[in-house]
Amino acid sequence: MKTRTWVILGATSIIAEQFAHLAAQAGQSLLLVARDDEQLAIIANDMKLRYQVPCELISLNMAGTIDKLLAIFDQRVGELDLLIAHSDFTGNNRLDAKTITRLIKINILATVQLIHGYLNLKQTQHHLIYLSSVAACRGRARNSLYGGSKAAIEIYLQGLQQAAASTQHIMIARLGFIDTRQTFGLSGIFYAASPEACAAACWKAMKRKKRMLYFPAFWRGIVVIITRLPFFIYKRSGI
Amino acid sequence: MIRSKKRVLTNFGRNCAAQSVCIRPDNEKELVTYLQQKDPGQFLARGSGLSYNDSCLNKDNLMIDMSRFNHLLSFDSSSGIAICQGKTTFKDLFSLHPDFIPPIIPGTIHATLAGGIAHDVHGKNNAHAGSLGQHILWIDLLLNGRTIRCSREENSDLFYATIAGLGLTGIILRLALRLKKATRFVQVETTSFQNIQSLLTNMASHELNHDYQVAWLDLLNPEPRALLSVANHCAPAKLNKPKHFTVPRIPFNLIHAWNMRLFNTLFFTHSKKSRKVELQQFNNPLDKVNNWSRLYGRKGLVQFQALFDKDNALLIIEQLINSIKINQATPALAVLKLFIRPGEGLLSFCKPGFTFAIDFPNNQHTHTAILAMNQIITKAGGRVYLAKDLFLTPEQFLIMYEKQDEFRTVLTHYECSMHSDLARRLRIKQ
Repeated sequence: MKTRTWVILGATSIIAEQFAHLAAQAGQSLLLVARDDEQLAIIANDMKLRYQVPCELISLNMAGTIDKLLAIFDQRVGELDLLIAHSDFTGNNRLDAKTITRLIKINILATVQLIHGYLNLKQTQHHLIYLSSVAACRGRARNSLYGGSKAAIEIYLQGLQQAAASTQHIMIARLGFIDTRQTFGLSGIFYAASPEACAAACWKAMKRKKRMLYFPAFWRGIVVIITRLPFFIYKRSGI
Repeated sequence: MIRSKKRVLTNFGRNCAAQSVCIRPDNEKELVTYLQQKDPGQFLARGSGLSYNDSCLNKDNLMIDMSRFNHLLSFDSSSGIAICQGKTTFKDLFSLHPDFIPPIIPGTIHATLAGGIAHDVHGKNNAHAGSLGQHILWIDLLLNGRTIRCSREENSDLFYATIAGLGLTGIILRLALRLKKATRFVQVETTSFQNIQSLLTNMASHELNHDYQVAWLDLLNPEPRALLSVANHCAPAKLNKPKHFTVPRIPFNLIHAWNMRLFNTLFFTHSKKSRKVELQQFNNPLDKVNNWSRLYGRKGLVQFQALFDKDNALLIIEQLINSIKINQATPALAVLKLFIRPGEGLLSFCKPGFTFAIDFPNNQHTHTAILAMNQIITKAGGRVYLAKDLFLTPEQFLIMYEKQDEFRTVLTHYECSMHSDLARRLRIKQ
């Protein structure tokens, strides 16, 4: 089998970095994409030195133009796999014209364009993992635009899953609390799973061709409860 | 701005714990910005938290969790020079090149290089390689919001203070070290000794003949006995991979005199005289058992490690064993090594002599025994290892580490604001 290349969007996030470790360990090449070029170069060097795999990097701001990346999709040699781990986390309390545009651009516009571009590549196989959030299940006062953007992509992907050929595998990973900079020191985090375990769960679920992954798994139950709570209780609960 | 949270942290032996306010920056930029914008007070940087004592604790103050600074940055196979971030571990260095190994390998390969520098760690090859500091070419130290390159040529005072500096000079962001070209297999020869005198004589006369040398002592036997293992690098061989085990959390101590006596007897009688093994298996046999310190139960373990002169080693060892017996402590594991090369750091532990390390369950008997042993070592002009000590007094520390005034001068000169529970206990910082 020819070596495949994992394209990792948002590669400087710790879950994405841990996923890159697994891909590189499996001998696959890497193409890391993120905004912070300094940190990206550090991670890329680390991957090359640890696993002796080819690792390229593209410094790109998803709020700007993503043509550079789409062009690389078209000119690629060998086949690509795609992990979408980039995200704008702006909460509802910090929304204004500028931040709303940025969130929509990064979380929806750029993401949809990249998914579309990727799945239209002529390849024998497609593997696409989208890191979503349990916030996509029901709008929360705290971050419903963020949750809504995740939900938009999920719905889009569900349609693509329905249409997918047997060689196209599309997985949505709904993540609960993971021990990352978004949850560190935040009140109300009762349990945060390690990013390593999260990446490993994604990798394993991808190998098993799962369509939907909840991680940590118990969040599936919590989501069932939250989505079914009558609204008057949901409103009062302040979840 | 990154968030902080309160966490109760402990050490490898899980013999003490302290609550700190923790931050975990994701990258160097974030860390530098944080330190420039906020007054961090008396803070400390923490890697894997694998020291045996309060050197990795900073009660009620800021602790910077360095977890995210674990990247290898470059490696040149012609010179063997590796550059990496501080949280990189000794284990990570093994992935750089199949022909190169870390020049020094401490008791566990999971320790970080910054932690290794901060305690100037040693391995079983002091006669040839000294301690870790000797192999460090430069350190990028984050001090008062700016990065300072220090080496033997540049800011050398800071360099020698940072080697074995207990993390008190600044945050070790990056470092360069020279790896050793060698195979990952060793030929081990093991000899048994029925008394300590013959062991000491043998160790002293053959120290330079082997790449590695270490003695294991059975202190629970009525008459102490020992196994001396010497090892040399050899050609690679196809060997079975050792199995790894994980110890679950155990609420009580499983290490007792009766079962350790049994274990020691089995170990003593069943050890192979000659065997070829992987370097890691020889050097870090306990790494096979993940979380082995959990065997000691909730209270954890305490390790005593001291260094003393070669000439009256027998007398000192006998005195140490005697005080263990008098205080009814349980010496579960005892290891003896011979040092020839001194460390370069101002507070380096290594200097010529024998070093004796003993693991104990954490209990009152152990505490009184170690207090007595610290007295013996102080009187004998030896020193106790600051990566392990929990019971030294500031007065004893004053006697043991002769270059501490120089160390303090550097800290004052550079206005180093880092602190640790160990530094407070021993009044290392004014």
